[in-house]
Amino acid sequence: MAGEKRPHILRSEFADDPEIGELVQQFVSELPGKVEELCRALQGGDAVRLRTLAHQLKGSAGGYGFPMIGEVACRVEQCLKSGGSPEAALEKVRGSVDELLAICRQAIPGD
Amino acid sequence: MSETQNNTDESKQVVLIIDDSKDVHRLLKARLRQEDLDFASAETGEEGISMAAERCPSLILLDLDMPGLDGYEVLRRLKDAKATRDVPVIILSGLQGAHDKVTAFDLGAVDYVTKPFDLAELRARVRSSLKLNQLVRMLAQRAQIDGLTGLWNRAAFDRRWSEEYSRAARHGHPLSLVLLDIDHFKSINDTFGHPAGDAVLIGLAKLLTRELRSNDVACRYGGEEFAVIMPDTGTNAARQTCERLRVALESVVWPRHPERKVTMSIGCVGCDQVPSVPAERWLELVDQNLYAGKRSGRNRVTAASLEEALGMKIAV
Repeated sequence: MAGEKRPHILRSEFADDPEIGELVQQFVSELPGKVEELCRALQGGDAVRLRTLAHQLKGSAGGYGFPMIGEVACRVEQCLKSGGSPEAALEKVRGSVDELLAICRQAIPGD
Repeated sequence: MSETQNNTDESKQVVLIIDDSKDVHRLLKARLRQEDLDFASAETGEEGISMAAERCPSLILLDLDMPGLDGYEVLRRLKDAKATRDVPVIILSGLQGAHDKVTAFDLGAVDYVTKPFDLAELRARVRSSLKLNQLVRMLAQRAQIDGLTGLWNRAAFDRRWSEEYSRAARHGHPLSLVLLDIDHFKSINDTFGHPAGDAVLIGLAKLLTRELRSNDVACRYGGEEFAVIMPDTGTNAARQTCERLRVALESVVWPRHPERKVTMSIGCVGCDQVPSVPAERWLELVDQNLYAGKRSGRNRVTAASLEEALGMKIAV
């Protein structure tokens, strides 16, 4: 039964695409590493690294069938682009990064 | 049971992908796997620019939105450099604003694909760009070739002469320029018909191709006049080659008119150091030598060094 704590599941749109099925799996299997890096960048206050990671996810996630990850990553990048001091930007971006972390953790390749 | 041959086919077209995300590289290669292409990958703009010059790809897929050198700047630099100017570029981007597309086209992109890629669209656009590129290359080459003789045409001569002249002027390498004109060509046409005249032009072209070295540039200059650029060749060597060509043509027996020999007059001016006159003036001096030969009886080589040619009194 779906308890409150049970995480949502985000399935790749291309789960059944034989051409990139394996790549989707690889992409998903590498996501935890990326999540970890995002966490580290946020905790360490490394806005540049954070922006690079978000930028790359923005460009690639859609292609692997996770357009929502791409959209949230895009918001993170925009937030960091919008100027101000790095501290202020990091503070502002915290919410979007949390959202990005959450959605990345929900991703599964297919069934 | 078929064996899969792992052939490194040279004719395979290379597609260069410039994108800052490894995941995008992987994805594109998988999506274009069926297209029988070779891929080169660059993860920064700088790397992409140098790889483009090195690998001479048939197509570049360029991400617009990259940290550091962005796609626009990369595109600008690719279009500024002679080596990469003609390589078609398809822009890949998540930015969907019309303004971005217009800017990309203005800078010389041939097409535009938005991320995330629509699979069928991506393939169709890549295929169509590659096809177009092939045709453009073919057309560009055809436009440089004389239809009758298969030699380089006048336009190609003008370009090559200016290139070779600049190279010689820069490095002081020897260089010679030769003009050849078939003697009494009009009378061959009038006596034996135009097909016979054409056969002579084709025959001389074949003779030039056979007798000259591979780095000599033989061109049909116009009508019955031919030009040969001889890079890294000084006056004396060029004179000897010209004499050999003259004798070779004179000795041809023509199936359509075995009784009638065909001869040519040849003007040649060579230079063994940095040339002291502009390329156009050099060409005029060669022409003067050619006509000096015509006046003094035809079927001869009139060769001189640039200095000698400049010092010559032109008989009026």
